[in-house]
Amino acid sequence: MVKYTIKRLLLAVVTTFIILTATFFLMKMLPFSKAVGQEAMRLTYYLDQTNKGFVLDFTSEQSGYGTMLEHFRDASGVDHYFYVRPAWQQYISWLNGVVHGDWGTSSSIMLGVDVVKIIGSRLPLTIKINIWSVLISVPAGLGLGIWAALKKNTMTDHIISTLVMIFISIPSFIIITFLMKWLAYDTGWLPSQWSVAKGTSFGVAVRSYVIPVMALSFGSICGYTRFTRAELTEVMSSDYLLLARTKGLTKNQTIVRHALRNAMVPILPSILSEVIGLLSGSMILESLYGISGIGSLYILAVNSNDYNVLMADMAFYTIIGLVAGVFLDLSYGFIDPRIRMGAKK
Amino acid sequence: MENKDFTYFDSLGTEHTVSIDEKDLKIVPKEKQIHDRKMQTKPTTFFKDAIRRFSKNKSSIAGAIVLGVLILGAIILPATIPYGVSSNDNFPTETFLEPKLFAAGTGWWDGTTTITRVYNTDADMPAEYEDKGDSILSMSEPVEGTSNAVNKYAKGGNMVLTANSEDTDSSVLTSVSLGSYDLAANPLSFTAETSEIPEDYAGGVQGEYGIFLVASNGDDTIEVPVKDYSYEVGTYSISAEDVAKGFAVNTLTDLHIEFRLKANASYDGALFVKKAVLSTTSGNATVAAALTKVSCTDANQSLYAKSEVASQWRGSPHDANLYGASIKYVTFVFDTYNNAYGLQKGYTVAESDLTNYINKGWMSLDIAAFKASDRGDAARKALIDSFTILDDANCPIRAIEDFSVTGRKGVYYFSYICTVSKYRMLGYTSMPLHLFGTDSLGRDLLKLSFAGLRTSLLMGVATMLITFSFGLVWGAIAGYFGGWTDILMERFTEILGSLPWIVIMTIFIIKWGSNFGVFVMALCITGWIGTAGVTRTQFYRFKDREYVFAARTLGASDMRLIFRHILPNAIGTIITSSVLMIPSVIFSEATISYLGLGLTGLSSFGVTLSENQKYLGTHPVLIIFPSAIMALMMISFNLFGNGLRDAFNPSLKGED
Repeated sequence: MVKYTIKRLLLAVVTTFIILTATFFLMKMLPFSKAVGQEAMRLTYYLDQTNKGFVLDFTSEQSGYGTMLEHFRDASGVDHYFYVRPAWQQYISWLNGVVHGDWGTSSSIMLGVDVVKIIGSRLPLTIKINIWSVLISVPAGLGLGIWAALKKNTMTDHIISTLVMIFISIPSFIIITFLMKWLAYDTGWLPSQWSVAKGTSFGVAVRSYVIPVMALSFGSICGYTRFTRAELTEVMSSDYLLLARTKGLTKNQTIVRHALRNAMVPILPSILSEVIGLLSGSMILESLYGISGIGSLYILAVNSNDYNVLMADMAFYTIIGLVAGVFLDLSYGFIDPRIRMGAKK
Repeated sequence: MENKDFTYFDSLGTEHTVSIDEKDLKIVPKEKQIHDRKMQTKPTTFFKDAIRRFSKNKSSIAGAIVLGVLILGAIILPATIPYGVSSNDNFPTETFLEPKLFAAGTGWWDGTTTITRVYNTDADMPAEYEDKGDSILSMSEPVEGTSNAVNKYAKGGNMVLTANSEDTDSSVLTSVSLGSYDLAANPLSFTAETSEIPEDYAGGVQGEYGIFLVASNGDDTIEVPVKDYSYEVGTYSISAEDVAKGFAVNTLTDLHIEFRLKANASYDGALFVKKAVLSTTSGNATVAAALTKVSCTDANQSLYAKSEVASQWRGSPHDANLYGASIKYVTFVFDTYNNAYGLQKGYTVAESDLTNYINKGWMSLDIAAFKASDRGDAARKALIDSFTILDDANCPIRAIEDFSVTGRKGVYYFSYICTVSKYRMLGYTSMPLHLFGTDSLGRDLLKLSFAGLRTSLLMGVATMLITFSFGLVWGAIAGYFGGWTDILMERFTEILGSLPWIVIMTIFIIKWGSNFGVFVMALCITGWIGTAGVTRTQFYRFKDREYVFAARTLGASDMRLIFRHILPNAIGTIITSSVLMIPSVIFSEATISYLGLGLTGLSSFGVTLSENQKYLGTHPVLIIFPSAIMALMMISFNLFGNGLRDAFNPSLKGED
């Protein structure tokens, strides 16, 4: 098991490295991010880039470096000529920074602010909303799934399965839009935009949470219901359950002691990994409902060409995804030793 | 006829004789081959069996039918709906038309909308609809209500005085003039009552204000403060004696009462005035009446409608300046189609256009005779009478009302004022009918939705074909050969699969722009991994089967094993997973569009939905119809795909 864990973790680290490298070079194919704003701020930005090793700073125009990118004269009258270094040189500087926890500074969203700080300031809100969603969707999903599995092939099961089928098919943004339309615009019960700020009253804050939490929960509930139902029906038709019944256990006892426990083996790890995955938030929800979390930061970074923020956000998404995957695999391995890497299929 | 006897011995050695009638026998040529009789039951193949199973699944059949109808619509509707975006800037009203199927006034799906507007007692119609009377089908009686927005046609409440940032003398919120005033004869006193700015008022904050009586006496300007600059709210009065102390002279010219915001104060400062009353103790009725006119005893009196008092107090920059007041509003049914496509009176048409219509044979009008005449009343009447419509479907001119002529240096330019039919003017021969209404640019929503569906489906199918071909080959190689080949290939897909698709799409779109090809390419980059995975699993499943071994033993090559023995068994599951790829591609495309990186130049679901998102509060129809079509398509695609999977792989049935 220890060997397996180490192997899996190593693989994840290597994957992260490869993905970050690939993303970095893909990003470098994009036009160079130029700082917006006043001249002085742009100069600060370029000097910062120089410190990162992304650009070179000359005091005079030197030949042999191709096209000079920008020319600034700073406050003390010194001329700066900035030259963008080749991608691989930038890569080494960047890697050096990343290893030391330096992901660079924002170039337009919050000029000069550390990217990690920006992400850190936006993460709590995303987590808060997602935790509420998990608290609602996990019990609801498990409950509905168990109910449907126990009442298999009855009206209850058909209704639950059909609803799950419908809600899993409808894209989340349509659900969000309709929730907003009915609960905010038509009835006016809830705010139509995220309206929690400092000093917001408790009532408004609670009402602000309803639509995002509902929107996030719908999909999750359907997913959990579907998964739980499938697992539990499979367990319910197994031989050892029949054996338990022949031993004299009542139906309820077999379900609680044997069926549910065995069905939970694959369900719990997948729920936990999904919880980790939820950290990345929902871009669409956050942008539609005006929540300033991680997801809307990504869109903001894309639209304002803030590549450092974009890079860090992408890395965050990738790492969260990988961590969730590693967690899933490891917990499967812990719970069920038969499942090991390579033997999954 | 003779019987033939055959003799044979059984195991005990006893002799038996069998006699066979010759007519039971048939002579057959020796070289003719004899086959078994054909089977009574019909032979079936894997695919036929799958189709039989599929057709028994009712929900899947329903999904397939709905899907078929949608696809048919996507092919036919965009090409057959004739309404394009109109380029006529004179009628920008084609936007936001309501869905229409039945005639206007039927009450449901008839292209009308119910509008509630504040009612102005001075005019017959709500202000913006005064000249659109013929489009208003029915109107309710005015109802009293309370307005929590600043309003012009209201009664009661508070007068809102706000600073105007464009005004150079911005510190004066409002100034009410009494003109020349004889202070000695008519002692003047002033009372003002201001109130707190309500929390829900969105127009500003409590300003630091002062109230002054200002007058000039010859060359000097004199100010008597009623209230110094502060944020306080309350009742302030200045008595006749105080005024007399301030103004040491008797006859004042240009006497003003001014509410002022403190100089250099924030421009979003506002002031709520409940009352501002001027009175005199002299008993002079004329002066008293004049003072009443400029007094604001209650906000309603000063601002309701267009009274003289109102005009005095409208010194503030906005005409609409009553808050928390009672309003009258009416609800009326408005025919958006008549408004957009109906008749328009008083429309000026150039002579060249009329000549053009005459030449086309749509109408006749005796222009030549009119131009040769003296253009008097008789000639004008003759002109109007000479108008005849020859082609009713095409002629946009419905009546001639008048003419207008401009002359310069002896050259005259004629134009004619006509009643025109807007839809004929826009080039339609009958009143357009938009089943789903139109969007913010006047595009037919039905056409737009199905054009979007077409784009999305095309993108889905294109992506599916590419990922299917590539994933199949990749998965087949990995699954068939196994071992190190498999491990290396698996690691590669694992790493690529760890890249969030949204990241790849973002980078691709930023780099190469958001066109169809880039979308397909970006979606394919990670899309094939799913197909490859399914193919690999299927190959693992079938490659160790006995019949594959048998074929291998008989000397079949790898190619033959893959294509003849393994693939036909695996293809059903692979096809299913590929079909289910289409809705996921559509979903991805729509998501990217929502993030503001949508397709440019083409309409797709995502583009339509994200463009119309901002009209959710005002025109929800623009969101509801495309959403409904998209949801319907996604549901039917999933039903269809699940049915396919159950049909190809009955052992998975029931496991959603």
